Amino acid sequence: MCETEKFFCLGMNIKPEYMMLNIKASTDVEAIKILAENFFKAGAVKDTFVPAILLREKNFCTGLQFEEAGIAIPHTDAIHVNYPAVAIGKLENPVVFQSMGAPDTPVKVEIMFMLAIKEPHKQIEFLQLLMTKFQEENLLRRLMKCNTAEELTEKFIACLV
Amino acid sequence: MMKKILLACGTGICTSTAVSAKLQRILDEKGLKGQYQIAQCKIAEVPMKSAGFDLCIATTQVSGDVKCPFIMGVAFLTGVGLNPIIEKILTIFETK
Repeated sequence: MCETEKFFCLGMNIKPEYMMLNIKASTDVEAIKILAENFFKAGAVKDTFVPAILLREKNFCTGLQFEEAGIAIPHTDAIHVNYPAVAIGKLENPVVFQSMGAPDTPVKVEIMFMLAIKEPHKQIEFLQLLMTKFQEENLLRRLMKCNTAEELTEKFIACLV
Repeated sequence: MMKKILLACGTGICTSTAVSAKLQRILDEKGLKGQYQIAQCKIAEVPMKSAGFDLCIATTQVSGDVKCPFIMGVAFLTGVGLNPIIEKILTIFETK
């Protein structure tokens, strides 16, 4: 399933330099901005990605309350993306996001999965798998226990295959 | 009779795709394979497109008129509270 290249899986680039482990933020806007700016510096997305993803979160919130943890899956249109990639941001303290489809319902988010989708039809498998995997017992907890970007990257890729 | 289901989300690609996979698996398990057609669209297109469908499932709210039965589908992503949603969807298949 996974290609032989170490940081490439199911059509997505998943590299340690996209990962951030101790994001200090007090709002969802701050949290998304920090991870998105890092994503831009690493080259996966364009400079227009940052304002676009913030605007999108405002209009279509991505907080999701799973049994084990609250997560967010911020993403925006393909036009702002250079190549398909995933950035994961662990928050030092839970930050309140609004729930997907229920803007007045708060979700305490501990980990963000920022998706840079370039060609949706090519990344379908990844998206479907991701949503299924999040429901797997212990998966989110295992990812949140990671202490380095490399560990998080490895564990995340390992759970996809 | 073939049921037409419209799946919608903000961009029409990310979460609606994830819902589609899960929904199809569940419907097939219930023996409904071949009895439904699924289309995906952006949430903004729902008022315009929903007239031709038997059910619309979205992962975010629609502003505007939905011209068919509507169900919030975030539970497909989180697994939390999914069973009552499935029950509601199955009743659509029971009607003509």
